[in-house]
Amino acid sequence: MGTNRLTQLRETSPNGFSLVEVMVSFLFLTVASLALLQGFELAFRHYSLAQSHWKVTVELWNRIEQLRANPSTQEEVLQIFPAARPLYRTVVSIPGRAEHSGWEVLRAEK
Amino acid sequence: MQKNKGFSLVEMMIALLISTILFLAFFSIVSQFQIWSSNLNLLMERDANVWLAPLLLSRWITPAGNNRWNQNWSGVAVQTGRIEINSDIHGPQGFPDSELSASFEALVLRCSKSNLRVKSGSGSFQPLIKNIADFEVDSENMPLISVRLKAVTDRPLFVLTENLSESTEFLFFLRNYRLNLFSEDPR
Repeated sequence: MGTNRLTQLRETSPNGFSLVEVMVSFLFLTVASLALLQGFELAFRHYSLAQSHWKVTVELWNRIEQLRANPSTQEEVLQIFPAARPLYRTVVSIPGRAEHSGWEVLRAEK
Repeated sequence: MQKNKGFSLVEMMIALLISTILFLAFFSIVSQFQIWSSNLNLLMERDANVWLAPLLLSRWITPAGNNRWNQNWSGVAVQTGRIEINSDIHGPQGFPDSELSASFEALVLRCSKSNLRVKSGSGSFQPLIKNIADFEVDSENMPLISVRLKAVTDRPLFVLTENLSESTEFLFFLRNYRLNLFSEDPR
């Protein structure tokens, strides 16, 4: 009762581990190594994803700053209060990157 | 007394040989993991420095140039690898007071010893962002300033021979860059 299987094997088999045992242990080692490799692959994939998001962010940042310096001719005029100065709205979009488009730039003056 | 027969020399040699091969295979895999994780760590650290740059720099660069009292200093002075930023945006009553006395009103940014450094007023240069190999500022299209940063890894990557660098260009619109924000004479 409570006998360790490994100890039992050693007691009954004086020749050490059998081929099957070694093969099974190698299988476990391989599976563990593959899982680790998978983790690294995931880390690198997320890293390259973060880099691509960063490049789009910089492009957006620069485009918004350019819009602030040189207003677009297609600005939409927003009259929030009747007697107040209007706001000017431009929607920034990046071709082919729909998920990063749709940012609104609001300007208080022309 | 029972005499146990041990392993023969040949058995021991073969066992040692197999163990050595297995250990070598195992440790080569482990060292490969370590190289990858170390390289990834270096690259992430390099990028984190650059990703922080626009947020830090925009706070200081974008208000540059407010000179309501028409004092004798320029809002932005650009030299090679160096930018001076002056903006009178603070005073005792919360309004510009014609002096660049607050710590954020007169700043100098430059790159030295692989760090982007900042100097406030008459103080000394302090490190701001580390592992910046190159810092270039272009003020040709004022009030739009272009800042180019070249970030490098803390140390060369393992296995890869080159020291990978990442260059990024940011634009900053200087919203206060005009002689006077207000038409009236402050005096």
